[in-house]
Amino acid sequence: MTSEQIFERYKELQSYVGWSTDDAALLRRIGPLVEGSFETLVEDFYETIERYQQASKVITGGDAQIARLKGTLVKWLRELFSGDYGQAYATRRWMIGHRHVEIGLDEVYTNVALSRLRRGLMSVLSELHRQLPSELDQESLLNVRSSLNTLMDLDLALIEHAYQTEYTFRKQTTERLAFVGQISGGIAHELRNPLNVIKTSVFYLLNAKDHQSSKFQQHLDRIERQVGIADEVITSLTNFAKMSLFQRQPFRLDSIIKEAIKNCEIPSTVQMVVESSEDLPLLLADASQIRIVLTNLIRNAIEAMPEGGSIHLISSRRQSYVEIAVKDTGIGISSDQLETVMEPFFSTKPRGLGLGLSLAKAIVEKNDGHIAVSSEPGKGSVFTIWLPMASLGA
Amino acid sequence: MRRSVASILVVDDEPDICQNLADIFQDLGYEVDTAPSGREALLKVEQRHYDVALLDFKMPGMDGLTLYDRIRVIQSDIVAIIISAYASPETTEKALTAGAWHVLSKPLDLRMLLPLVMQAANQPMVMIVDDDVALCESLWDLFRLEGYRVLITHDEESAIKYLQSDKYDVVLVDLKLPEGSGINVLQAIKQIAPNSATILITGNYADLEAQNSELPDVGVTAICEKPFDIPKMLSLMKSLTSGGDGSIKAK
Repeated sequence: MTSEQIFERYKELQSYVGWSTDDAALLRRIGPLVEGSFETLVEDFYETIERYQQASKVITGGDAQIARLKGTLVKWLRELFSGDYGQAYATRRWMIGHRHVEIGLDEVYTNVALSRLRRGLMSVLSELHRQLPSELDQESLLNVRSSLNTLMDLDLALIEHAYQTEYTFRKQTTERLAFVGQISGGIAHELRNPLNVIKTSVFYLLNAKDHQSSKFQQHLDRIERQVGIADEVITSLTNFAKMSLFQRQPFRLDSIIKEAIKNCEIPSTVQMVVESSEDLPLLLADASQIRIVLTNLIRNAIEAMPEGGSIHLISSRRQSYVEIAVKDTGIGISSDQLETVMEPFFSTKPRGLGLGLSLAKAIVEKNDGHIAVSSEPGKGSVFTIWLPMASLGA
Repeated sequence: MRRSVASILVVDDEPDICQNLADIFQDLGYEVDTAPSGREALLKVEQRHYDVALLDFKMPGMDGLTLYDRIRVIQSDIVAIIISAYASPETTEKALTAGAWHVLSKPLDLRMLLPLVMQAANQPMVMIVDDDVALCESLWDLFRLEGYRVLITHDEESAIKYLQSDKYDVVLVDLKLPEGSGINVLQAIKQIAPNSATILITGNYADLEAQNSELPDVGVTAICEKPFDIPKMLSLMKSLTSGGDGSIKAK
């Protein structure tokens, strides 16, 4: 955030709590009377920190740093009573929150530390009222307390806002980097396997002592096939990236199911059973994308059953939705993996980018549907999707 | 001392790569078998002796490292080269610690692989016949580091079986075996592999000679008493094999 934006935010918060120029004037008037006690408050502040390991561990620069920090805190206290709460003031508060993330201070210490300062300042004011009632009568004391409390609440709100903003930003950056690592690992694996075949075939073609034209043809065919496999990796990645283009139109589910099954090359060891209720309504979604979803789910089911088994594809109406369940009798998914199977680039299989299920989830959700998985390891898994039906007359 | 043709086992779940490596190595005169999975590879290893195994790291079912661990139990003198599409430093470290010789990445650089296979196939072969598993493992690591291929056996029967299937440059024998006896092994070597050097490993040779009247007739090449003088043992091995290739040190 820029200084201007921070200040805008601060002014918004000020108006929310009803801060006025009277509050500012009141604090400025009392400033010279309390200034003498700042040093004591600051000493108490840092003595407290030193007693708490979680708070003091972020101070790594020894006594020199503490001396510097004390100076900064005195300045902060002076500013509280300066009466000038403009852009520079707001920016400095913002930087405190920012800095706390940088040094790794637990946010809770900002709250308790400010609370301790607040108590200290309140007792200084009470003492002032007791000793100099002419300077600070009962009514003024209450007003000053109220203004000071409001000002410190505003400080805290801005510091916390800065903390959250910076914290989220850093967390996202870390996550993004981890994600890039995960993606590049997946792509490396998927591309290096076909490259490996291509490279070894080329080596054979260039170096074989025993020239057989039938062998040569085999290697050329192999190269062509593996180039196709490598290309598919790129296609599935770009499919994933261009998910944003889609068209929702009413369509009949059964024809899409047929096409999806045709795409899958069901092995002879797998029995495919399709059950649809008679009165299945039209669906409202992007038909070609739903076909991709069903294809991915059926392919996964097949891969979960290397020894064969059966797939039941059952569709039925559920209120204004159509429910489609893809049930297999395969190896199942362990409970600790159930939560992650639909994340992009997660795969339990030695081959594949790990995009199939995450793409299915993204498509279903984009079409205002929902997807869920349940599984029993050793028995099989059920993937269920719900998609909105087209309203009558649509 | 060697069979004229070295043999290679290629294990990869990608049939094209199995076929390619078979074509390339057969063209160079090697014997090559391929297996699409760890399970089938183990069946092959149980049936015959291989010099080198090229193992894909990531395979469905059993991965390449697990496979190598199981191969080592059957034939610990197969030299394993692990091939991986995406080997992290941790994976590489783990593979080398497990005893794999090299970890290569895909796409394979054959100009690197071919000399390695040739070198592995020519490393001197050593057999250890001892029932002390910990001692065998330590010697395996030690000799492997010096560039020997090391077969571990714990009893007379399997020792003789391996002596018949392959030629070993040096055989280290402990006389006390829970099944069979070291004397029988030494006598078998004299008949089956008279060119193999033999080293008797023992705690106390004088006692041993007193208890085994046949011992002087077997004519062992050398005797190493426990605890071993390692440098002496290694230089003895070197003189008996005209030297390990030592290349593994550069790993």
